[in-house]
Amino acid sequence: MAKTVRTFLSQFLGRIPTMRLGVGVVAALVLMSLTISITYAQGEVPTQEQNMAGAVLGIFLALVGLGMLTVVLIGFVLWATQTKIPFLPQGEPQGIARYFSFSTDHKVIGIQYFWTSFAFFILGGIMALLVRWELALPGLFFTTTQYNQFFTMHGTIMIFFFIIPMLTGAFGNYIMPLQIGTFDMAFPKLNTLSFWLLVPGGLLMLASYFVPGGTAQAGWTAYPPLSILASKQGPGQLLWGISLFIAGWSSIVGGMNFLVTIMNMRTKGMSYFRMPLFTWNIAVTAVLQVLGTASFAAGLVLQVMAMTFDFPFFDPVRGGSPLLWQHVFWFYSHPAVYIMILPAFGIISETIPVFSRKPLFGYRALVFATCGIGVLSFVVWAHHMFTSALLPQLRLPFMLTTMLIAIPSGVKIFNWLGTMAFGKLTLNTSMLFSLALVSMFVIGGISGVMMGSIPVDIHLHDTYFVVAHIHYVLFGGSAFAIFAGIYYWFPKMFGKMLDERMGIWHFWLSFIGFNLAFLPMHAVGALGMPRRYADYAPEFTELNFVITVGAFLLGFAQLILVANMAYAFAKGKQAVDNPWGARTLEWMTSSPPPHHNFEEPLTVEHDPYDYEWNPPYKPLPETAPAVGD
Amino acid sequence: MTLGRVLALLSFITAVAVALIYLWPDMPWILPVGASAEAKGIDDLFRIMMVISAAIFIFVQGFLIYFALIFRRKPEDGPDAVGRNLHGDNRLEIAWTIAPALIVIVLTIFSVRELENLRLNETVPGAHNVDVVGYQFAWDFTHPETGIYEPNMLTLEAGQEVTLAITGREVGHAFWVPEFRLKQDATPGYIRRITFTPILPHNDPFFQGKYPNGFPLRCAELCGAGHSEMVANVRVLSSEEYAAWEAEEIVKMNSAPDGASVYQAKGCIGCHQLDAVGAVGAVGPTHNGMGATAEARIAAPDYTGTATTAEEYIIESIRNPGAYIVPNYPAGVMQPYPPEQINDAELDALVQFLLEQ
Repeated sequence: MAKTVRTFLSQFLGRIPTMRLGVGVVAALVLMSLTISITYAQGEVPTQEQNMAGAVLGIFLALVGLGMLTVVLIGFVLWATQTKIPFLPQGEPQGIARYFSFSTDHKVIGIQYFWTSFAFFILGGIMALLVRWELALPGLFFTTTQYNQFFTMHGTIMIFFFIIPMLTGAFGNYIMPLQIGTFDMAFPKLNTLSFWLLVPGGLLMLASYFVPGGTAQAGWTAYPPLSILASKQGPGQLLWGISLFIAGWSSIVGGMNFLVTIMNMRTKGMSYFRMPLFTWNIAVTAVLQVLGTASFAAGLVLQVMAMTFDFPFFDPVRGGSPLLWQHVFWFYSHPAVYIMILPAFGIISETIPVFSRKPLFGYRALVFATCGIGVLSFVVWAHHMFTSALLPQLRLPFMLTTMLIAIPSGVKIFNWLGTMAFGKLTLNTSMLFSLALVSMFVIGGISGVMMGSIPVDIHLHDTYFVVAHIHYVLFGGSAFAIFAGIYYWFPKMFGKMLDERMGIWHFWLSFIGFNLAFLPMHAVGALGMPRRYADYAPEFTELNFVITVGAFLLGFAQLILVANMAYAFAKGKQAVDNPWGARTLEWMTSSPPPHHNFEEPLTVEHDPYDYEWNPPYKPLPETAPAVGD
Repeated sequence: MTLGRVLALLSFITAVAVALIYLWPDMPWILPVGASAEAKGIDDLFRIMMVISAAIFIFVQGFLIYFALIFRRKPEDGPDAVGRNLHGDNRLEIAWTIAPALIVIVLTIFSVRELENLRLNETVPGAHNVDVVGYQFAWDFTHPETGIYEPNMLTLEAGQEVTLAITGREVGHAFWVPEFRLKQDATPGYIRRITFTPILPHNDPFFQGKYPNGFPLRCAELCGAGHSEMVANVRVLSSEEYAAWEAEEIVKMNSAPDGASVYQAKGCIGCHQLDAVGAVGAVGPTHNGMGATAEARIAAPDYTGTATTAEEYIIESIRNPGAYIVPNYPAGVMQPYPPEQINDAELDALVQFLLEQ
């Protein structure tokens, strides 16, 4: 019986052509526009009948939508499992056109992710500068609603559409299969799906700027009842929720794919403990993505239902609780911090040994620390809620687990220092950004431990101290690692070298601008300025002005990166296969790698950071990489 | 420079930093004046953390810079030189796992000890009670024992322990007076308590003359367009002043409502501008010249409400603000005020007061 069902399903669904993805996306968009028009039709004060009709229709539509998604997913999984070695379909577009196609090549998808998230980085950066423009001096320049929209969008875009897709989507997709010596992801079409879910998600997020009432304004944390109230001013807040729901699925699907790939597709001799640290970090990140994001997606469904059909999930008057969302949200969003920082740790665990010409110190300790952080990340979420209405007795256990995270984080920092000791350090741009991460993460980690202590957190929570902390972790950590990764892997991905002089300028201006912007925030916050304030008391003027100057310097520095990449494409030096003399597998093929990465299967016999040995892998004959892509 | 000298140098810098942190007792560059008995314990914990942080910071950054300088590739090394083939050292791994573990154990012990002093969410016998309600975008304070009601201003007695029972009305807010060091979210549907003893730190040079209107209470949880304007004042009075104030308030309570105090009491002050009471809100339209404005509004061609007189217009704007939205202001920000929130007597006083503006 089961076999019959399976055969039927596989015949019915097994060969969904890539283009039908488009149907799925269109269906999702139709669903959303329906939901939105219903909200409009309901008006501000819906009647009882409308509520009932809305609820019925909503459940029905949600089932249809989920069913559609499930059908698509099952189709892909069946298809992928039946075809053990999923070769690419013939006749894929070539050249630039393939970056706009439903390509299943992990390298094409990686580059699609790269430019998409880079574009969002610039957008999110502009939002940040608008926030800082408002805060440069006391008084109001924008309206407070506009200001709330700027920081909401800044946080949302940077987290969900820049850092996560850049680290897991771009680098994870492009580099990880190369590092384990395979020719593609385990489920190439699922990979396509995960990128093409991000696109409608991102477009909806941008679209929310153009609807009446403007975009979301309840912060990236979107605490109800505020978010529900905001949704009554226009569909922007609702679009925010739907957009993140779709982007969340992109993340879940991508995470599953990474896990299966790492577990099953490693080349001969690539045991778990020979995997490069970046791949290890991607593996742990993938677990967090799959387990955590699902909780977030469920929470978003509750929010969307509450906004559209007035479900009372968060309304205390009708038996709901505002705390429900806070739990569901932080159960995802604390692991999300590690989704954003673990791949960053992975990147610098590659660059530091390469540019120190020395094996990674304490490889296994780093692996265990990564896994430890992964496990602990699921049991600390309520430290974001020490001042909330959380049951007071619950605070203490969450303080204990939070403190524990300092231990594996410390182990990582010490091992990176150990890797540098007695090395031969090349302080190029990639290495400088990596060392800056170590340095800045120490500050972010220390302030994290301070806020892990309940009595201190009760003073510091929801102040600029927290803003300083998250930026030391997410900019000084994740974004600096992304820059290190760009300077390190750009030659592999695009076959062109980035210019070092421009790189050094980019580094120093970023580093100075970053510290000018975020170090004073600690003081502003602890002295009494809450976060998300559009206006502030005059005593904070000097520090805020310095912060704004730093932020604009930091923003300017990123233009150098853009110029550097443009220059590399126009006039950059051709990259050789292994410009850094690295020993991991992504460098054992041409730059950029050919279709299916390696000419013949590789056998791994040595550790990934063994610089005393000549590369034990047989390099491909020098092939001239295609120019321009 | 040898390793020993580096260690000596870093220890010296750490010692200087620690000395600075301790010799500068109030840390005015990072903490505001402490105006509650609880502030001292929290500040001491903060100071311990600053000391440990300084040591970790200086040693890690010191080694990072030291390694980056002395292990730098030199021109004479040649392109093929590799570093020493070290794969790790188990003793070191154990050492630097135990070291941070010890540090966090110490910090946890200090934190737990301080936490016990804080009496969070307890009902404390002998404490003066105040009910606190946060709403968009102001605070209500009621002293249940005397029935004194204070709009957007809280008066406390120095040295008298006080328990605040905090909740929120339509969205979440957070009670935070930086000088007290205590914060509690005001979440709709929940009542959470904090207990503390306000003090007047007359010995603190940073206190002198800095707080003419009392300590600012700043909403610390994003609550909408008026979030940063949701600032109330907390006055701490000496026992004699407090007793006098309390007696005066009780007398005032028994007289009829007057428009200006209703205006302040019901939070109009949080979002609107009105020079007569010093309101500077910018979330909603100004109330300066409200009598004339009301006449003009109902005469305007785009007027969507049902009022025919200025008086009706003001009533409509309070009871049903959505009936007409003033151009350039967003709809849905101001919530209707039903009779349960502003009764008819208060409404009359308020309308008369606004008409005279």
